Amino acid sequence: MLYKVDPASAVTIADQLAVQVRVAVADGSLAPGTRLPPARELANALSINMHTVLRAYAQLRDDGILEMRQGRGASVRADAAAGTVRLVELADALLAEARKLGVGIPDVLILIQKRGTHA
Amino acid sequence: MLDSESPTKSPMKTGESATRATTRDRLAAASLWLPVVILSVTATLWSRRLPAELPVEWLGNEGGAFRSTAVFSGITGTFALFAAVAGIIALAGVAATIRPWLVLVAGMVGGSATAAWLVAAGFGLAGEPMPASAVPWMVALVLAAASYGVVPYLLSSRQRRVRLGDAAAGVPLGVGEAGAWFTTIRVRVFGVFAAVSTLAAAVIAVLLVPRDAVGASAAIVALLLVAAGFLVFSRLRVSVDHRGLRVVSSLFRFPIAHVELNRIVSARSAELRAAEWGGWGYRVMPGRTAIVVSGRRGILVERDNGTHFAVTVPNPDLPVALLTTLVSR
Repeated sequence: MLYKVDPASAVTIADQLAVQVRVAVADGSLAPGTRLPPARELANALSINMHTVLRAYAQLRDDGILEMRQGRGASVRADAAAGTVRLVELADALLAEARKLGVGIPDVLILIQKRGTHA
Repeated sequence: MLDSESPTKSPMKTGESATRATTRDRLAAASLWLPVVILSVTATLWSRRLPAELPVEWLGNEGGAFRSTAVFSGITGTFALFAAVAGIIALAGVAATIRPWLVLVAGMVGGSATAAWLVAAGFGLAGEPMPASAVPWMVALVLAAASYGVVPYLLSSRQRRVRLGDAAAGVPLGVGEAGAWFTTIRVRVFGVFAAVSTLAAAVIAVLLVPRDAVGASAAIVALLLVAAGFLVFSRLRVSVDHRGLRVVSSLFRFPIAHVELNRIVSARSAELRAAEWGGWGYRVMPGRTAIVVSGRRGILVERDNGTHFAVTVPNPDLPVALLTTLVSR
C-alpha cells in the first residue's frame, strides 16, 4: 500500500499513518494477516522517526486492527474487518463530540452502558 | 492516495514489433542447419566406406551400442537436429528476449555434435584406432567446435527487446509530502521446494552419513544451500520510496536488489513473461536484470546507463506512478 505523510499538516504524522492503514483495512486493500513494513523500514522510507511509526502501530493495535509480535512485526489482525474499523471510527467521533461538550470518558462509558441495557 | 484510489492506468503495448524476428534472426536460425547438412551429407557419402563400428573410446565410451556407426551417427545427428529446431523456436515472439542466447547454445550443441561425428568418422575411415597421444587433441577439437555457437549469436540482431508499457503519470505529492509504497510477495511454491530440499538433506543425513557414503556430506550441503536459495525468494518485500526501488528478502532481511532513485530514468508497468526473462527467480541477462516470482505484470525501470531492472508485483501501476513522481522531483 501507499503511505503518504505531510509534516506540514495539522494532523500528527502518527495519526496520518494510522488513518491510512485504517482506511486500507476498511476498503480491503490490506487483507487480514497482511504484514506491515517494519517500523524502522517505513520510517527510513518516509524520512520520519521510527518512534512515530511505532506510535501509529501501537494506536492501531489498541484499536484492535493490528497485532504486534516480537520478531514478526505488525500485521493486520485476522478479525480486523471493515466493521471493526467502522466501530473504531464511530467511537473516535463519539469521544471527539463528548470532548467538545465537556463530557468525560467515564460519563460516556456510563451513557453507553445505560443505552446498552435499554436496547 | 491508497491502493484503492485510482493510480494512473498504463495500457500495455502489444510489443509485437519489438519481438518479431528480423532477417538477421532468420539467418542465425538458418546457420544452425549447417551442422545438420554437414552431418547428413558426410554420413551419406561415407556410408559404404565406414566400418560397422567407430573408435569412440576417446569420448569416454568404453564400448557397447554407442560404438555402432549407425547409432553414433544417429545420436550426433539428433543433437544437431535438436539444435536446428531450437533455432526455429527462437524465432517465436515469446523467445525474443532470449533469442541470441538460445541460438548461441544451439550453435554450441550443433557444432560439437558435428565435430564429434567428423572426428570419429575420420578415424573410422582411416581404419586405425586413435593413438593415445591424439585423444586430448581430439576432445579439445570437439569442445572448440562449440565456438560455432558464436556464428548464430553474432548473426542475430542486437536490438533491445523489452516489453514496455506506456509511461505512467505520477502520484500527486504535495511539496514536502513524502510517499512510500510497500508490498510483500509470498511465493508458496518456493517454500514447498525449500521444505522438500531440507527433507531430502535430512533423509541423506539419517540414511547415508552413518554408512560413510561417498558424497553424502556434499549432497547435504548442496541441498541445504538450495533450500536457503528458495527461502530467500519465498517472501519478498518490494518498496518504492525516496531511496529508489528495493527488493528485500523478508525472511532473511537482506536486500536482494536496489536501484537508486538518482539512477532511474523512467519507470513503467510491464508484462513480464518468465519465458522472455530466462525463467523464474533472479534473472541476469545482458543489459537487464529481473526478479520474476509471481504473476505476469511488474515494475520495469530504466537506469541511466540504459540497462533495465524489473520485478513482478501485483498491481504495478501505483508503485510505477510513485516512482515517476519521485524521479521527476
